[in-house]
Amino acid sequence: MVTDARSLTNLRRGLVEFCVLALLETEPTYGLALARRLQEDQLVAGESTLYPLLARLRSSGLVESEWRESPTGRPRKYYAITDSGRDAVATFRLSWVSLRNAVDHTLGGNS
Amino acid sequence: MIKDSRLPGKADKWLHTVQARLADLDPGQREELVDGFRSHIQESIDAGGDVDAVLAELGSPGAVAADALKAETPGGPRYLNAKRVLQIVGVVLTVAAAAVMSVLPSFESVTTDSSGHEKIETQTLLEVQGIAFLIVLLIPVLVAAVPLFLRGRAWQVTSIVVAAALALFVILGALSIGRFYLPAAIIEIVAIFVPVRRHNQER
Repeated sequence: MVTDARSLTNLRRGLVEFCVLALLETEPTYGLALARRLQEDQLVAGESTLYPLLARLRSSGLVESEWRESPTGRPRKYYAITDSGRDAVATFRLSWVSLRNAVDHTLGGNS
Repeated sequence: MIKDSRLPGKADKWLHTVQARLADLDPGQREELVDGFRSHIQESIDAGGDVDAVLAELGSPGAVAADALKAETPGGPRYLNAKRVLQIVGVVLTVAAAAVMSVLPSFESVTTDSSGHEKIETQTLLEVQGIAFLIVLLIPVLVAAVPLFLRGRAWQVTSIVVAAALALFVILGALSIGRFYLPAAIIEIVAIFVPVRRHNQER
């Protein structure tokens, strides 16, 4: 039965990807800001887990990155959602509510 | 990649270690990851963070790279690829060469008995040179096998060295045992030029 730590990790990783896309929907954001937001929401255990995720989203064409000048004058890497990324998170939104309700119902709904 | 890095030495060393441990990744993927970490460290320091604390928060470079590789390839990095298969074939060919030379009659001697009859005797290389010569025959086998035990950049560099060593062995021994290892040397040289299918290609 697939209910071990690796399965839960993969599930969380998949969900966090959509959360990152949702955070980028409003405006491009730099890595540290994203990492801190995800940690505050307890979506990632450590800041370092964000960057492989962002690299994966970029290679999938859902996110793009570019260097911009920060207020300190030093280059800072910004991440922005692409049109494909917007489509992906929109599709996820449509599915998530019904999926969440179905899982809650199956698990007993005793929340 | 950022051109002007003003990161403290510790941070640069951390990044270089991560980069080295990510040798198995597609170069573009690796650059994206390292750039992300570089920017993160720079931003954290600019926000008033201490470099030691920032690096401690990220984790050891080995652990970070291992997690990144695991995230990219949940099943683990692929060991068997076209290049590796060619190298295995190369090892098999060196073993075959050694085996052939061990049993193939290589020397012929003609003796004449008292009645004038000629007797032709053949001997193998080992019979003439002694069983210890087997060690010489097995050297190319051991050399060809070395890359099979390595991964990442060490594997790539060693593959080139091994191919060059086998080629040299063939050239220097062209008039004797070297030519038997020619097929293996050719395969090892071809293996150098076979691109390794990186993780996440064609995704």
